[in-house]
Amino acid sequence: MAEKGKEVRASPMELMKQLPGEDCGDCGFDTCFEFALAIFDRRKRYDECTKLNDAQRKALAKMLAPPMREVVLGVGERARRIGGEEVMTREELGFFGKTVIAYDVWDTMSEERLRDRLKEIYEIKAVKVKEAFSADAIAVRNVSGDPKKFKEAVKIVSEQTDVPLILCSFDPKALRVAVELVKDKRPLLYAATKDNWADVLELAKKYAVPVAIFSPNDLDTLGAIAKTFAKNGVEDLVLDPGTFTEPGSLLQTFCNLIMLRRACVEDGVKEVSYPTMAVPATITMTVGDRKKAAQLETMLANALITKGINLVILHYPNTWGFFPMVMLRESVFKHPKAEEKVDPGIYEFNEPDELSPVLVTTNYTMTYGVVSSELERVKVPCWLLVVDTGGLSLDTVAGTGEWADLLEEAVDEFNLDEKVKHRILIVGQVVAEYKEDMEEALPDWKIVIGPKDSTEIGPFLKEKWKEFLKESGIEA
Amino acid sequence: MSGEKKLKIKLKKKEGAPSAATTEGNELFKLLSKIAKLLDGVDSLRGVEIEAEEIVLEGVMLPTDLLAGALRQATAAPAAAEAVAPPKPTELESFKFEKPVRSYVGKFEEVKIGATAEEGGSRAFTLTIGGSETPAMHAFEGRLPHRPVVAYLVFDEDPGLPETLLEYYGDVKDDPVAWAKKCVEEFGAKMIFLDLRSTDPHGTNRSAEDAAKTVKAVLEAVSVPLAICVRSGDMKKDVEVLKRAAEVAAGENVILYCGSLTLPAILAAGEALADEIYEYFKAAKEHGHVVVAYQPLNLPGIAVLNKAAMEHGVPKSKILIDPGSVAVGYAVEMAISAMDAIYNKALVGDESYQMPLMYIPANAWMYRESYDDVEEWGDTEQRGHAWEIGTAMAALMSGAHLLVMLDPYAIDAVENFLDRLYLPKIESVEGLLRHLPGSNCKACGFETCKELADAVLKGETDVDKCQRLGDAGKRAVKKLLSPPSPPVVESEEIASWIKELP
Ligand code: SF4
Ligand code: SF4
Repeated sequence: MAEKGKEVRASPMELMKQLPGEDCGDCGFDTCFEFALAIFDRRKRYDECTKLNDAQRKALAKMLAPPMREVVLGVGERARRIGGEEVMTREELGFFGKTVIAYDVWDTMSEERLRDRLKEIYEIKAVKVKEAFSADAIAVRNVSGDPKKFKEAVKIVSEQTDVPLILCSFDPKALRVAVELVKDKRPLLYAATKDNWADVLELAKKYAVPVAIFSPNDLDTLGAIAKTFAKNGVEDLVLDPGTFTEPGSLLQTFCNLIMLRRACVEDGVKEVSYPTMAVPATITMTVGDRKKAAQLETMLANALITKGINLVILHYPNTWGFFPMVMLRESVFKHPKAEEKVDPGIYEFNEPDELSPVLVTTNYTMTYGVVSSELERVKVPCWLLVVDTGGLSLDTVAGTGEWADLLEEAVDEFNLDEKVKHRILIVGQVVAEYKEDMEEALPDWKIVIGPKDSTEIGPFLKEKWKEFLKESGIEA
Repeated sequence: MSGEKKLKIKLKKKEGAPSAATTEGNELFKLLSKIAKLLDGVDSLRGVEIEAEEIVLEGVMLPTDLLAGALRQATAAPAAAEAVAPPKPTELESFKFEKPVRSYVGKFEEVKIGATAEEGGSRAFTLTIGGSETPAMHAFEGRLPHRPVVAYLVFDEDPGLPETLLEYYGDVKDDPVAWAKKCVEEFGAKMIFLDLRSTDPHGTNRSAEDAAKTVKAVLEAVSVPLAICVRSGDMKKDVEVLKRAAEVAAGENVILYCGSLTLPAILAAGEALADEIYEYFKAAKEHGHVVVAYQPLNLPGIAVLNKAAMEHGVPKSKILIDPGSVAVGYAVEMAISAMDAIYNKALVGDESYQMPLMYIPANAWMYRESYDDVEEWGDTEQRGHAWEIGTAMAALMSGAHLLVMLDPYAIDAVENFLDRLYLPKIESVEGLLRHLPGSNCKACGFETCKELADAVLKGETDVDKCQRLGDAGKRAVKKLLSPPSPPVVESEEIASWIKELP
């Protein structure tokens, strides 16, 4: 593959030269060299080293600068950093500028409706293992065409929320009054176009805020505006080549976004080396039914997230769609070298003894995470046997026919029989159909099928465990 | 005015890291306007000395020409200095975007599914998948010749369908023949993916002979291309079932899918694989079917199966790859990466990875996120649809050529998406219906959207009758009824989206 303008990345050795060499361990690694490897493949950011001096910091920043600019939206804890991409497929290194998921409000809503809608947006959430997610940003649309109304809406929204704002208007006057109001919150101005760019450039300069450039299906103009902005010192840019969704146009939407990214990460075209965004909400204009529009919008957002787009604006806030969308995003933007698995072994929860139950799970992070957090929550003393499935979930491994053998190996390897007096294993319901196989592989053990849902583990253990013990002739 | 004023300004450099949030130039302009005020009434600048040794700007680098320009204005028109601004650009820089096109030496094989009477089968039509010459969606640099196919998953016994799906299949869940017929006749299925789960030795354990009867009955009941699937985890039984199925489906060019092929723990070159694997290949070869290299998230394993299949006489054009069809939330990123890697290898010419990719988004229904009533997770029904659709999108965007799905609602959404990508001419009622609101509000004068669709296709009425579709929606439907060739992308379509969202 041609690699015209692609810059050569600094090697770990070169990075190492800029590290203090104190091997102090503050960064979480035992040696500076391990840390150099981690910043090389971007598992860590260089500023996590606590001992850098200014010169080193500068040198590292320069050496590690990704081809795509990183742009920060918002301020404080809810600020989001987007962009910073280096590759086309996550398989090559990873995706980094996690898609910001924004929902819209508009300035023709009554104050009451606006407040209701904001509430609706805050209420969306998704929980993954222990991490909770909610809407990342709010886009305020200037539908009225009236700068005053826009300003009022922005005021209400900014008082209610600390997430980054996206100020959507093609009218520089409206943008001006709005940004004046929230200039300290680093909102994204949406958008500079071929018609208003000169005025929007003034605003961006004056208020030092990031700007989106909207140039539907015209990458020449998109690049020209970006180039002009950069030359005038405005470099926190986000590119929107337009989200066409009508039949025959949708493919172009993806082509434009993909071409921009490749020009940036592979060909080193500086003029377009900025994060990209899309507005899946545009698909709702073609639908005519709320429920259906919400599904199609979610669908399009998921497609864009898979392609690594850095910001999406949606129109239908709901948890049912946000939940899978966030799960997909967290997956796509997960570092490929991030620990996929937990170490196999026997884990203790709530100080178990030799009569405490043994639960079985796989070393897939998600499965382990779900079970372990539940065990911590319910406070039942027990053992958790984590079987080495190469990081596959129980469901996945069940289908391979190898589960019983893997379980047998784990029981043997970790000397489970020395930890507990009883001979009972509680396994998940997804492997229920392999009960016979498991019993065959572990003739000394009794296999008990646990509850279907992790939230039932607590009650299950509390109610049934003593019975199981009794059945096997052991008095608790 | 008399006397000379001497002004001396000394600015100190501020220590600390640059902060991106500073208002660039603002401080300097404020300062300059102060200077201007001091200069107010000064008619001559002679003797004014601005000594700026260092400039405080919180680390923001100020372009020197900006400074010079500002100074020029400040000194030329000191009274107006409050409004000092650098020269405003009036022209855009010139820029030409060069399409970052690559040429690829390799491409995906084309695989045909089904056989018509002339070809020795009894299918009404055949389907061809694969043939990609570029990564997924890269239409700007090469051909993606075939629209991905969505097959309907049908089980030969009720797998315990959740509520959301019972809505569609409650009446047929115990009868695979009726189930398949419903998919084809009611939902417009183009392919049936028959999962013979009742043969699972850990479950109902029906015999290969029984299963073969089901296969035969389904082949007789529907005329679309067929896939036959076993995935009990028991390779021996699965292959036994597939062998019988291959016989009764001889000549039909079906997909034989086995989810239980187990490879040796350590793959050494030239090492023999399990006998069942060779039997599986043999059955496909003898009866003219397509095989699938399925090894979850295991690229070397997939290559081993592909090579072995070809060595045993299965042509490359009769092999598919399933990289491991995991659902969103369950390591889908590993499947995405596996598919990325397969594309990277296939397109540079690695023959062991050039078989079209299939993916089973229907697996999303195995996880409670898609069917459990948990209040904090939002509407169960919509969430279920979204989970399978989301999984399908991850697969499609990673280049899947064949999707196996279960939920008719989800399939409809995905087909809707594919229509938008590929701009086919729509000629069937179900095809048109998926682009109507589906609200059945009667405002058009028809009882249901379906009736309107029917009338539109017969030329009796116009889609403008629909009271719910907006301009964009009507335009979209019209494009599908008579597709412009080549497709046109009008920037007008979304130019005013800020105002036009519903
Ligand atoms: S914190 Fe810095 S100096 Fe300390 S070990 Fe890590 S890289 Fe080395
Ligand atoms: S007006 Fe539109 S949405 Fe209503 S029934 Fe007719 S076609 Fe369906």
